[in-house]
Amino acid sequence: MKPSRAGKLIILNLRLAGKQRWRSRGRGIIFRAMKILVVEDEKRISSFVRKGLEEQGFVVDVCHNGDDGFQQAATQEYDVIVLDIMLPGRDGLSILRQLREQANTTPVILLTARGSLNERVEGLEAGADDYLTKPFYVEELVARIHALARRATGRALTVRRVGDLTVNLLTREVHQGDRPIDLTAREFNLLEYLMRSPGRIYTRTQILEHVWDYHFDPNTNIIDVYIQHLRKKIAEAGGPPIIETVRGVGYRIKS
Amino acid sequence: MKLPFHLRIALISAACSSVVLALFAAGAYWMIRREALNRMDQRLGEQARRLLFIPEDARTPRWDLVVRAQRAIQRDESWRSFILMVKDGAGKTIYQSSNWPRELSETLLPPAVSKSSNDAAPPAPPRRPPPALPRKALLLARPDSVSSTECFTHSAGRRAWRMAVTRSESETVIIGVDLAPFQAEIHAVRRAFLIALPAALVLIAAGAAVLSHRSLRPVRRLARTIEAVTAGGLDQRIPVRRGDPDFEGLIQLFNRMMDRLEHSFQQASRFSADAAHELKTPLTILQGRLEQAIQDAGAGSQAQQDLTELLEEAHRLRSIVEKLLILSRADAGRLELSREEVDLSRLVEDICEDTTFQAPELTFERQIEPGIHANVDRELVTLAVRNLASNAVKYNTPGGRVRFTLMRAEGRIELAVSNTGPGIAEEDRGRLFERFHRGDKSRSRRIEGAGLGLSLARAIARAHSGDVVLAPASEGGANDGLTRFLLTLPA
Repeated sequence: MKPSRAGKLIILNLRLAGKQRWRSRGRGIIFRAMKILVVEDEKRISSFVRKGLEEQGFVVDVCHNGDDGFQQAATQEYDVIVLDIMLPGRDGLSILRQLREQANTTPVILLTARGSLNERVEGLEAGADDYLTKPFYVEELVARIHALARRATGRALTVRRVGDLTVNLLTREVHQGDRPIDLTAREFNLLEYLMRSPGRIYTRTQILEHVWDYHFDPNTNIIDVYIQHLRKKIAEAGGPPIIETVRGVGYRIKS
Repeated sequence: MKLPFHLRIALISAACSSVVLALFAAGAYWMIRREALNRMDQRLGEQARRLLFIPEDARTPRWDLVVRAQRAIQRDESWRSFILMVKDGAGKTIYQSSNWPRELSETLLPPAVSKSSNDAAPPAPPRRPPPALPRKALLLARPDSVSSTECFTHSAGRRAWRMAVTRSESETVIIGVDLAPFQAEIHAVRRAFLIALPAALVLIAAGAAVLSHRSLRPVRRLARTIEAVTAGGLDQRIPVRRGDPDFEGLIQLFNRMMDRLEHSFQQASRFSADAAHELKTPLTILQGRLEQAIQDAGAGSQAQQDLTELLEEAHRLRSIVEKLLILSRADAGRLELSREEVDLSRLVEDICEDTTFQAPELTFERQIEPGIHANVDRELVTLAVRNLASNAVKYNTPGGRVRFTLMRAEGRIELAVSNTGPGIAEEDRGRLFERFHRGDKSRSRRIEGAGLGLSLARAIARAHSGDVVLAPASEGGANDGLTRFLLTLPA
């Protein structure tokens, strides 16, 4: 085993299979952890982002100013770069432009604080692949990183599976074993969201924000109603009760 | 109805000048008339005196001389109607010109004349004087014995005569002239006045209107600029033109005021944008750390539940910050819209459905015209409609109703969100759209939200050239007890 690229080589257990790029090397499976560069000047933000990403098995480098960030991005190879727009030294957009001028095609996720349309459009025109508006959930960032990495390798992960329950993201079909489960759009979105990361707890606020795009009033029982629908439909298809209520917090899929 | 300023100026100046001109014209007319009459009287007097003192000629009889003089006078164009009568001291007519009008009775002559002849008024005065006229008669008349000439106007039938009476000791000469040519002349003067006066008034009014209209041009420019300010931005200024001494100062003041306004407005809107932006960093940290801590805490533990509550509060904070950011952008006129074709019927249906879950104890009614599309910012319009919906839930009465009505109306799209409620006090109607205003005066925490919903919905609608209003209580199914908010968007 010798490193094929400049990245670190780590052998991980199969639980993380969905999160890594992998290649088969004769005798076994060698996983190379995805390497992420985070360019963010606010240390308290970069610290929890680093922590959150590392927990997901990523290898994370952090830079706190634009010049270092550009240096790092231009000389090292990363799978995804997370780039804040407002930076001391060179700002995020000019780093991005310079990288693209150098024919560097590493996927870039921009972090914007203003979330103004101009900034987004400017960012996408400069060559960004995605953007997130502050404040964001690390969980969301992880999901975006995965999506980008899959797009970059051309090997899109279209099926999520927990036990016998499979969710096809492309055809939007859900199966329990062989039996199809008929879900409404909202129900599908909810299930797909919870299945992003089995075992992870999703708070009601997070669910509301992601599935309903709600930014207010978390006191609605709308989630509970939909969870009940989901549980009922999965049970009718003969599936086990995999959606777990975490009292006073939210829901999660049993891993 | 009030007339435009320049028309009022025109009318006032026309009215003032008409009074002045009318007085002037009346005075002038009166003076011209009097002067002309005086002149006529003077000439009449001269003629009368001349006739009285025709000197005796040995060869020619005196009456021939008188007749000759009379003809000479009549040769003058304006004296064609000249008439003549001569009476002796006793009042007897001794000569009467042939054109003496029959209708001009002698009795109407002034008392001084008629008095002396009252007893011997001849029924038909002789056409010709008696030939036996004492030759010396006229010679007796010495200039100093002649009385002054009396003049008066005498109307007979349809004609008016100007008469002059001159007496000597022995004879009275009465001459007259038809006033018609004189009156025609005076009438011509009057006509000229009557034509010139309105013409002058029209000229004055038009001049005043044009002048005031022109001089108000800077004011209109000011108005246009102010309009542009409300529509566009505060960067509008009026170019100062030389030669506008009255308005130059005003325009400069206005521009300076706009400078100050723009400056402070930019500062204010930059402040709220900066504040919202600065808040985002700590919020990101707060939210990220809490997210992390929730995952790390024991599932279902008290700590995890507490952290979740904190996360919700962080979320509420974030939603307020986002709303403020949208509002501050809208205030600065810089709310960017990412427009796309949106199926509004579908969007409202979805929100209606979500709201149903949010408040299962309420009765929901919907009248949603299907297939209404509009080119709008999906995210913002969703936010606006959601705010109206949650407003209708928050301020509802227990077990009340919420009604969504979406329809096309006169080139607009109208969404009405109504709810049962205690109604909105008259003094609250205006303040309803103020920021951080909440319906109940106690501001109890029972009602969630920061009180930004309505002003946000309105700002979003207005950015789309629409509006959000509170429908008047009487309108739309009177007395159904519903409070109705109306969101309009251009179709």
